[in-house]
Formats: sequence, structure tokens, C-alpha cells
Amino acid sequence: MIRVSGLSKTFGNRQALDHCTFEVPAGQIVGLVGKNGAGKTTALRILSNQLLPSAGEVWIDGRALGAEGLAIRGRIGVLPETPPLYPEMTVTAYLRFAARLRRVNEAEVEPRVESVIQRTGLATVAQQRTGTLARGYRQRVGIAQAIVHDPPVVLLDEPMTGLDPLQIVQIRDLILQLKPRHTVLFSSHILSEVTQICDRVILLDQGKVVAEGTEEHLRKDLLQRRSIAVLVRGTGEALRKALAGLTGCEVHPRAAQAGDEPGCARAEISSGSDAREEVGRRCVEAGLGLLELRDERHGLEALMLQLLERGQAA
Amino acid sequence: MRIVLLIARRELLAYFSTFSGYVILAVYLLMSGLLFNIYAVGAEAKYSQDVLRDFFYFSSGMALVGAILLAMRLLAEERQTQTLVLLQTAPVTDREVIWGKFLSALAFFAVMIALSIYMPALIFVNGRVAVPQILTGYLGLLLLGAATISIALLASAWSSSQIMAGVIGAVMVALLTIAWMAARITDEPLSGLMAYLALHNIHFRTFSQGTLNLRDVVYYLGITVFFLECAVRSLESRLWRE
Repeated sequence: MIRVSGLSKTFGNRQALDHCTFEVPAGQIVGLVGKNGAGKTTALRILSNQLLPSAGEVWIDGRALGAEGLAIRGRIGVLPETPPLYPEMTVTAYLRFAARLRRVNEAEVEPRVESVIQRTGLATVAQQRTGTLARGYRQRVGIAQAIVHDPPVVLLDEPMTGLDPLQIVQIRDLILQLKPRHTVLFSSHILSEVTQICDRVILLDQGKVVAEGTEEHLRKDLLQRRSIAVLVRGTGEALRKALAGLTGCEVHPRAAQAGDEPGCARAEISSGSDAREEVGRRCVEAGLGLLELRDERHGLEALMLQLLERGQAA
Repeated sequence: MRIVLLIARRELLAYFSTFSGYVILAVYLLMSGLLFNIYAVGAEAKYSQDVLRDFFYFSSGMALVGAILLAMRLLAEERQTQTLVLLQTAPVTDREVIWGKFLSALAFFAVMIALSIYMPALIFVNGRVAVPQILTGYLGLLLLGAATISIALLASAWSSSQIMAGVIGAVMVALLTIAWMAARITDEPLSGLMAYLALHNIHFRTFSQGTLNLRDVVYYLGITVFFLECAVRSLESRLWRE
């Protein structure tokens, strides 16, 4: 339903998204998790056609973003971090306005508004002005406007931020009810919050997708997978040849980093066990000058644990 | 067009359901009434058509201020309250958003100036004026208001602060209004261009005297469309910004 390929976004010198690739299958709820500044909101703003990417492609419901941007907008519902409510309008008037804005047929506006008010539990405040609503109800109205036109894709940016524990449970239930009628991608910086309702989780860090899968898979993968960074004096081709055929390992060439000397090459090796000895031996045997050999497992572990700890503290 | 009217209707209701709309309306009517009594009617005997001409002259000044106050909130407020995202994620073009906003402000402005009709009507008590002169004067006010709203709407598209949008809009309108002064100290062809671009001077004078000049109508419509198109481009540029 949502397909993102090599998505990048740069603001001046800051790389907000760095070659992100992921998919969200139809009918699933998928969480986009990362620390503040990881690139979650930027990704959702691009998907909702509020921002143009610097590079990469996005397909939503089989349509390419950019060429069919306006058509895609009618196929998605968006709840930004702050619900976009007009305080002087009543809940019903606001939802009617949102439905008409999404080009719902005039004959269908009233039934859709009625239905969405029931689905989101807004009946008791339907005639109340949105400016007078409590935070939890404002969030519900925000979700209601995102689904009033019955879009196949719903994007929610931090839908549980600022809510009390009871409201979090209520909004969580509301999001769960969206499945399987809607495909939902929502962002959060609290992993435990996401894993309770998501089929899959996409972990973002510094604009990169660092892991994705079910909670169980993520735990296993992040806590067991080792990632080894190697820097040698020599060509990328020579390094690739030296590391070819490493048992149980995947070798990924990496671009030079700031501070790397000229004539050097980098690679990242993913493996289920510690392959540092073997990598070092092969580099030396191939006549490559071994400048750096680093186990990056703890970087991913720390990220995961940090997110888990934050969830436990919340 | 349906979406333009939908946006315009919501905005218009917002003017009537908030305090600020009524304040702008009241201040405009109060100031226009005072200026009408002090300067247009005055203490000396005057021909009725001169009273009417002076009424439109002073009303136009207040109309400029009123139009800026009405338009400065149009997009800046949406940014401030983060509601613009609702329009920007809906299947709605930026042109529809801008025209919807513009039409709402223009409709409110039309109501505002229409409520001042009792002033020219008072002239009939002691004098006689031609109704076409009144209608032409009001058409001039409406066109001047449309041009001013479009300028202030562009300023509103640039800023997320209503006050800042108002200040920028006022400076732009002031510069365009006093362009005729610049025309006096520059040589041709620049002086001719400056004189033509002046928002109020030669173009509004004909309306206030009861003369309908197509050249002036085209000028005001041209200014309006130009600044609205600039506002559309400004809104579109968000796609590249943070």
C-alpha cells in the first residue's frame, strides 16, 4: 500500500532522511519509531505531500507521489502532531467541512460524518466547539477528520503525545479499530507504545532505517546481530575480494567518511557471530593496510534499549 | 469552484463568529462616520457632489486599513494554529486555497463598506446627488479593497505572525500608495510607470468623482490577480522549505 524507496531529504547541511526504504502492506498498522529528530515527522510530511523529497520515490496505493500528488491526497488521511482544528467550529460542522474538503459527494457527507462520530466516540461532544474540547477529545476529532473520507491510508504523527494514561489506552483502541479497513502508518518515540498495536515496526535513527520487523524479530535481530565496520588502505574492489565468501556474513561497501584518508575503502559486515578476527586476517593476507576494525553491535543495542527504557519510564 | 466557495464560506463564518471581525467593522464605521462629519460635511457650505467626493476620499483611506486588518490573518493565523496542514493535505490546490481566502475577505469587506451607505444617503436630506456617482464610488472602494486584500494576503503567506503580516502588508500598500510621489522626482519613463502603479492617486480619484474609467478597473483587477498569483507561488514554495 505504501512503498518508499531511497527516500532522502536535506535541509541545508542537515540530512533529515538518508536513503530510507520500507514498505507498509495493505491493512497493516506499522509504527515508525525513533528518537526526537530521527526523521519520523519529515518522512510523514513527505508521504502526506507537504514536502518534496530531495531524492527517492514514494508510491501510495499504486500511485507515484509527485506526478499524482493531488490524487494521492484524496487517498490518505493525515493527523499531524497538533490536530488541525478550527476552535470556533463545532465538531459536526468541522467534520462536514473536512469531508467536503476531501471531495466527498454531497449526498454522502452527512452519513459519513454520523458514522465517523460513532466510530470515534464523539457523540457526546458533537455539538461542542472544538476549541472547548479536552486534549483526548481533540485527538479523537483529529483522527475523525483523517478517516471521514474513508481513505485507504492513514498517517498519524505522534498521536499519543501529551495524553494521560487513560486517553492513551482509548486512542490506542481507536487506532486498532482502523484495521484492516485502513492501512495505518504512525510515528512515535516510545517503542512500547507502538509494539502494542503494530504489526510491524520501522526503527529510524539519524534519518536512516536501522531495523524493521515485528517486535519479536526486532528484539532478536538488534540484540543478536553484529555489525562490523572496517577501514583499510586500498581499493574498494580489493577489499570486496578479500572479504568474499565469509561464512554467514553480508558485506556492504560503504562511502568514505569525513576524515578518511585518500586511497582508503570502507565496508560494513553484518553477521550473527563475531567475525572480527577472520575479517582482520583476510585483510592482512590480501595486503591491505588495516586502519580500523570496529564492532558496532552496541550502537544498535543502545538505540533499542534507549527506546525501551523510554517506554518503561513513560 | 466548489472548493473555493467552501473555503470562502468557512472563513467568512470565522469573521462573524470571532470578536476581531466585529471590532474591525465597528472601528471602520466609527472612523468613517467621524471623518464624514468633520471633513466631508464640515462647517462650510459645499456642493453635494463635493461632499460625496470627499466622503469616498476619506472612506478609501479607512478601507485600506480595514482591508489590511482583514487579510493579515488569512494564512498567518492558519500557520500559527497549525490548521494549514488540513488544507495542504486535502486534494485541494494552493490556488483554490488562496482564492477561497481572498473571496471571504472581499465578501466581509463588501459588507463593511455597504454598511456605510447611510452616510451618502444623508446627503439627500439637504442636497441632491446622482445615484450612479454613489455606485461608481462604491465600485472604486470595492476594487481598491480587492487590490489591498491581495497585497496583505501575500504578506500573510510570508509570515506565521499576524502582526508581522500586517506590518509587511501595510508597508507594501504604503509604498504602492505613495508611488506617485516617487513619480514626481524621477524622469520618464520611470515617472510614468510610478504614477501608473500608484494604488490610490489617479486610479481612485476618477471613481470618487463618479467617473467609471475602464483603464482604472483593469489596473485594480491586474494588481489583484498579480498579488494573488504571487501568494499562490509563495504557498507552493513550502514544498521545498523546512
